[in-house]
Amino acid sequence: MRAVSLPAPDFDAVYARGYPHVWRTLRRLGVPEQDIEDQAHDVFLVVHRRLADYDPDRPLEPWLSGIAFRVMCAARRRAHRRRERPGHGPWLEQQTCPRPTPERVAVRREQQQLVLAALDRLDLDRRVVFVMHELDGVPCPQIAREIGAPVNTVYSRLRVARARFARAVRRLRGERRSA
Amino acid sequence: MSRDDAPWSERDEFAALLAAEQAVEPPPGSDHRVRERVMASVALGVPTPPEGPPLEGAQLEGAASPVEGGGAGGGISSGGVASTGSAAGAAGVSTSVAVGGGGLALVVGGATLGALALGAWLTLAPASPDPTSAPTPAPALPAPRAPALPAPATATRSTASSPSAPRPPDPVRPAPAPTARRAAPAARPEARPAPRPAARPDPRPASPTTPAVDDALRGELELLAEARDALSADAPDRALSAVAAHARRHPRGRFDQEREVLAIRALVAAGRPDDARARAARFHRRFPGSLHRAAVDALIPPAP
Repeated sequence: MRAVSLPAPDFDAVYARGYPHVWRTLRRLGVPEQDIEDQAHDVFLVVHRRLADYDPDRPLEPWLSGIAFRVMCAARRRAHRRRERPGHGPWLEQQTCPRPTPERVAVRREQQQLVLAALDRLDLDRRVVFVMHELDGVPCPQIAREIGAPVNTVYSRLRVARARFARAVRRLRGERRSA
Repeated sequence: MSRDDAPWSERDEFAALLAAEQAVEPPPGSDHRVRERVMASVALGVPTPPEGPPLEGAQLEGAASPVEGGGAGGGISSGGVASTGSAAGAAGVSTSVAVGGGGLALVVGGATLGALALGAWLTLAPASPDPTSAPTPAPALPAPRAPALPAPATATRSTASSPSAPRPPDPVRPAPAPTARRAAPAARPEARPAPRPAARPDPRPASPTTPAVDDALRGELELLAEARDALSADAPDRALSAVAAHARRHPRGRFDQEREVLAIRALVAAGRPDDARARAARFHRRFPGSLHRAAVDALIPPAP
């Protein structure tokens, strides 16, 4: 904590920097493609409202991840009531990535699909920890802070998540190869 | 992945997998689309959407984990769900009635712009972390990465879309009631039948921006903001004209429900309870599962 607090960041700056992160986080948490923008909207409404409380010393992205996590939990709860099934749509197929060669693109897309499929095998509590730590590089104590869980719980979730992720990747890979 | 979970032969592969996922970018135009909607919601004073604890089912064997109990002042305890019904009703009421004080108080819910429950929105205060007690984190992957994020962009965009809407730091903050934090499924039987824009006559633009749609949206927002401001200024007649203008110009607008709520409020404020009641009845017929149902009911004075 600093003695003198910095001014709250500007919403536009937070949005510009944070949108891709929020989008990716929602995707990795398993939000269906067609719902990502809706939920990102909700996330940034929360952000807008809470910006005044935001401590600029706090890293932005993990803070956003925590909000995204809670917003998606609320949305999933509603979705459950409607008995909708979350899952990833076919959008991965459509995603374009102009720079690399087609082969490279294909490989990468396949890798991304594999990651998402493996993430789908994790329950949400572990998934968010895994995503924040392994994909965003957030240290566990900070994850604990942002998702409101004891840090030891975060460590143990991460451990289990890693093992399950690895197992899921092996299995999915095997399925693909034998297919 | 860490050493203990993956043999050496796999570590590079896992790292490559995760790196591929890290490179993902949102589709073109996505940020702009969402930003427009966020600013519209802010301008309209849409209540902050709910944040929720993890699903019960999400923590299967982790039952022992005291997780979401602590830290964040919000106390993400799963008890929240129980209090939904009444909390929703109450929240709707407080939201709609608490106009005054320069606050944003238009009752707008998620039917159109967002999955925004009119909700008992309990502030999740910034967590009070206790990093000191935390052991040093295990190193992550073979190759340490910086968070894969773009460099901070400078804030160049203006927030011109919400000039008319005062934005107090805390538009809709019901008194924090630790137990009633969840918004409101009970009050919204139809809760978001479909993703909002799709449910509306005007199709979502496929391209990042479709000026015509944006203009229409802005036009709607301006009229509704005008109505809201008039109500705040205790000028219900002016509010009614704005509402009428909205109905005329945007007969199939995205905010027809919100317009009706404003209209009912204006009628009440103008001392026309019978008209308000009639309009509320029409509202219920036309939007049987509306999110605003409870709010509308709360506005209507009891029949003499």
